[in-house]
Amino acid sequence: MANVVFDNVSKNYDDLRAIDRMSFEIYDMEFFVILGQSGAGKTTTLKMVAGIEPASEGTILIGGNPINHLTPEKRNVAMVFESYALYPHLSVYDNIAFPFHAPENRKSNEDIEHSVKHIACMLGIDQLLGRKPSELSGGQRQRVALGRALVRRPSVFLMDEPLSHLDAKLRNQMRKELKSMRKSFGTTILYVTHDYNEAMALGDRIAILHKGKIQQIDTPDDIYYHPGNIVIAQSLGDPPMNFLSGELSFLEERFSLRTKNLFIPLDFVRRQDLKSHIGKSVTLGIRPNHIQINTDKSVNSFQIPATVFVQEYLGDDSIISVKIEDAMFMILSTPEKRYAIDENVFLSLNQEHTHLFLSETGESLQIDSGKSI
Amino acid sequence: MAEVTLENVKKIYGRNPEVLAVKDVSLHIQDREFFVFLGPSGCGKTTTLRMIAGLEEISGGTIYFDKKTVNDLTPQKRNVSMAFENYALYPTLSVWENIAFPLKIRKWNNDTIRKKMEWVAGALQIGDILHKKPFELSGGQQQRVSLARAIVREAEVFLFDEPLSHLDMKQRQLMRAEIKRINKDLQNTMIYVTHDQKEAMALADRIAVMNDGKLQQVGTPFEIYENPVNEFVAGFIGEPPMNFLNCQILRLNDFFELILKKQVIAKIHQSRLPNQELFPQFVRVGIRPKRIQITNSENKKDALQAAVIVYESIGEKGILKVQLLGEPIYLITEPNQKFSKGENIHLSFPIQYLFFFNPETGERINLK
Repeated sequence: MANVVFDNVSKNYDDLRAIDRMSFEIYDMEFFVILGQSGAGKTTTLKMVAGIEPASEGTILIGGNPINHLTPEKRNVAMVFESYALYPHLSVYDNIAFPFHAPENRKSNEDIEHSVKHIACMLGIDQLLGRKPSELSGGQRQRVALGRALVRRPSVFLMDEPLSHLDAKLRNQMRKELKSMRKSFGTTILYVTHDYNEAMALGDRIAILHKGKIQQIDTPDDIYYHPGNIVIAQSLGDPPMNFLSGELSFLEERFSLRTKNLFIPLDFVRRQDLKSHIGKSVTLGIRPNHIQINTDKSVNSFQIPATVFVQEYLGDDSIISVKIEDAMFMILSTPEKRYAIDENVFLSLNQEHTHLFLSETGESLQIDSGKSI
Repeated sequence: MAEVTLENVKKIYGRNPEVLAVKDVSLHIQDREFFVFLGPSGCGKTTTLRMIAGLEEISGGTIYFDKKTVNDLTPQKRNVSMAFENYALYPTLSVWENIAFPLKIRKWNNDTIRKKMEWVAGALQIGDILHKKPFELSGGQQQRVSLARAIVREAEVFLFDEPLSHLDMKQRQLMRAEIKRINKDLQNTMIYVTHDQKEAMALADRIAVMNDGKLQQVGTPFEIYENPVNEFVAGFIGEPPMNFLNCQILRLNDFFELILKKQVIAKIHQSRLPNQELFPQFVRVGIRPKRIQITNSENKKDALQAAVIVYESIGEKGILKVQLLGEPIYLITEPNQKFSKGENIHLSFPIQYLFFFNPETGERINLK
């Protein structure tokens, strides 16, 4: 049981700065997810906690104690990798008991048996202890791998894309398994993934990591609804957020986005200090589920004219791709309504969920500075 | 322009004629159609595509392009263009040269090639990498180049085997829309293989669902989703997939009650049953996750109590896993709802959204 603190941690590989001055705290017993593309520095971060990679600068503390100088065995962390790497010739029991072979973990046989059985009960695999890995389903193997990592009662549990090699169906099931079991782990969890579904489903909080820098740390909902910049906005959602760039203009006490042929009112923007950005290039962002598509033009409210590029019927729902000038927008809609290619449609944006970013830096113009990191 | 017809097409690997990788597949792909073979790995979809391409010998049956038998024609003679999961780009050639290569050997003039290249580079968003060599590209970029090389050709039939598998989610979404639009604009026959049900639904005019070498159903995405012919097809489409429950059927006056572990989960009026004698005593009842209703606690008389196992709010939707009478059930909900583990909720199963399957054969039983 312990919190983990990164205090100004950096990692350099020769001239390359893989992690740039990372400072944050993972709370005791928290399920903390780092989300990022490949190459963002996720695994490097994990390895620094595990002690496989030394930090180049800064301090990592577990439970208040600096651990930079400790060897991996002394850190009391456990790691589950992408492949479970179970020993095929050993039974489930022996796989779970394996960490006790290490000299620093030696225990009496009685104690080992007690620990293994306890963890197997907790994970619901106590009936399988005599089996070999080849006789187990994918889900059972995952549980055995978790059991092996948890049996030493680590204070921090590190997981590196543990679901990524599973097929989509199994991955979705395993994700729910992990989530339903997590309380029983009784440890702080640091989990890294490139899959935003996993991050949102599992994380108490998510850190978005991009090119070695933490972009934002928040609850899944906060990150989804209040992204601090374009990179964050793009990292969640399927289909991803739509963007339209133009010039920020201010006419008759009203902000609007001016594109080649359109003036799109930005009534959701109320901050007067945006006036300093008038004339600059800004990017409007809106998620596919926050757009309403209409076949008739409304006289009462502003709509954006668009033409249907293609429609995808998906059974549960439907994605309509449309073109607004040169930009492609995707709209998530109910499956019942059908649209023809090149049909003219009119889009109403849900103002409450419309975002505005400064094109040059990508930063959100709606979030008070200080909210994002 | 081409129609493709498969007549009792079989594929035998090895010496044992009993082991069929593809079992008597007969279907007709229309001119200009976007036709998708969908199924789990090992179902025979890629083998079928390779037989259409001429890359794999046909063990039995006939394949026609229009009215012409093509069984003995080489891939070149069939005039097909292909893009596969593995890109097979020429490592020493630039992206531009890789794509233009098949056009040059067909002696297209430079102007036509340039126009075609501009078009395809725009559509597949590779304009900024045309001068690069394959080794400088990510897997996703290489795959788009391979797709571009297939699409620039003017073939009678375009064949694709998982051409988007190495793209990230965002790119895949964009490419899906582009490919679908290209099919509508070019009006070529496109045959596409995938294991991804969402991709199949999004792209296809019609889908052929395969399992274990056998054709399960051919239909539009709508038909496959709303009217699956068997439990396999019903369970393969949708994420989370359809829920299935083993129920007993008991008659009570004018109604047939569906009973799950002694509890009635729904009632069907007898007039809706097709043939009461043939309706089995036990059925598999299917319902899609988005069709299960959560009822409020005031009218829980007929509702079923279930306990929350896990709730995930993932942006556009929520996914709820509950335990109903010992069975795990998945629901799709609006996002941002609050459910906690162990909480009791009440469900109802609207009769109009139930599917029935024969528990032995998996065949669908239709109500009137």
